[in-house]
Amino acid sequence: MSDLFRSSRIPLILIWVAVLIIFGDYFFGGVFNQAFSTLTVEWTVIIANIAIIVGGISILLRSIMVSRRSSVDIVERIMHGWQVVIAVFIFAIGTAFGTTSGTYNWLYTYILLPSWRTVYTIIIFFMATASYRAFRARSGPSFVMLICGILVLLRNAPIGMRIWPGFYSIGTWILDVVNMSGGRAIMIGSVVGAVSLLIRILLGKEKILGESE
Amino acid sequence: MSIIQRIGYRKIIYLLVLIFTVTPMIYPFGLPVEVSTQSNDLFNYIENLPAGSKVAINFAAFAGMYPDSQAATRAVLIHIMKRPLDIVLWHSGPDGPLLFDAEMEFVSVGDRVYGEDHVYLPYVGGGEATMAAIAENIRGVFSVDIDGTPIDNIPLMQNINRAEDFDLILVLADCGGATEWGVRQWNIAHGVSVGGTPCSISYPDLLPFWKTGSIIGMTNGVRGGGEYELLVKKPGPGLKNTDVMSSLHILFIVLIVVGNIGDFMKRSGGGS
Repeated sequence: MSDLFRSSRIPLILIWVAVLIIFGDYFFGGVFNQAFSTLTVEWTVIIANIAIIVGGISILLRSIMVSRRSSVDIVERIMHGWQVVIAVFIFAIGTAFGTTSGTYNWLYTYILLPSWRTVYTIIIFFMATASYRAFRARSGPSFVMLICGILVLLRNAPIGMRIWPGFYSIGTWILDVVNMSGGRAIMIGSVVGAVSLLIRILLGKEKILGESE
Repeated sequence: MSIIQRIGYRKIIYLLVLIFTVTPMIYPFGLPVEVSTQSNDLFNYIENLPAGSKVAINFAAFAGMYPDSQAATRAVLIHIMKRPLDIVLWHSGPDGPLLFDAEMEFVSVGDRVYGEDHVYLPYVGGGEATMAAIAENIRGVFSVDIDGTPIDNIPLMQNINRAEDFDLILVLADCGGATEWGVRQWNIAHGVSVGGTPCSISYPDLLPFWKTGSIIGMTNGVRGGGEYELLVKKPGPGLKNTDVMSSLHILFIVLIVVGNIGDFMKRSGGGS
């Protein structure tokens, strides 16, 4: 019995059932197929939301573990400990007063929001130094990429049009034609890859959850 | 040792970024903004929707990247609230409800009645799977609205249950693939048109969908916000921020050129 649970058979059977239900609805339709497909998709939402809870708990447990480990640097331990305190505090406030309450809203608006935005805004400084240090035209393709990048920058910034109206047309052409054809190729390639991965999983040729060596 | 070496080039670049960001905020250039075809398409599509059309909105914002698409999102909300359209909005990001509340302080709902003309549903995680489930059966995902009222008691929701009941889905403030979920789960599977206000990093990836008609129109980050503000005749943060964008883009281009000249001189032995 335990071998059955450890083997990849159960997940594989579940994948086969889900695939048949979704494909059955998409390609053949019908009330029966549709009802099963809707139920499967709804269960996916339930599982995805449970996964969010599990993810939150596992991050918390990891932080508690790291903060208690003596071999870890003291600053890192304090940071992880602080993370646990903040998370538990915000969770308690949200649970006690509700996520639409003034208290929770205040915490979000005046603590979380500015911190989050500051972290993301700091990226602009790194981007500026990166544009000076890293964007080098050391080969033909990198030179073309750099020129395209500059033209799209000038297309996006209204000042580009003021310098020369042609920048807008050229930048738009790069975005709408060059970028689009490349984007389509990547998209089609990734979808073909996903289909081949699905076939490998269905045929049991891909290692999946629950498979034992 | 030169003065640049003594101070360190990083500090000089950081200072330049600060100057190039703050200056246009204090002294705006007011440069004219050309409205792109994609923004125009979105505006015209919403403008030409018949009265009583039903619009689904997935508010996909998360705090970190929201400023990039905030102006466009606000302008689209202003536009859509002004038109006699029935709106059902939900959140696919945990920050959504709080960010949306803050945004609605700048958007007038006019004489719209909550529950009859528009409904706000809560946040549900699950990404693309949730988008697919909502398209199949809204009641399978949401049983109550954001205030806890059962959706069966809401007049607007009486005849709405799946994607086919809507004329358009808008994915607002997307920075992580939500617009593509809309294309896959609402447009391809159910034939509903998709529009949105993605941030600049998502915009190039979505252009192929716009070209094929799956996306009827969209804006492009901060610039798109400025464009849409012009279209709805409500100048706001978008137009102000395009000046900052202009000055920073020029700085970036200068840094790239200077960096490359320095690199070229070093490689050719002209510099040390």
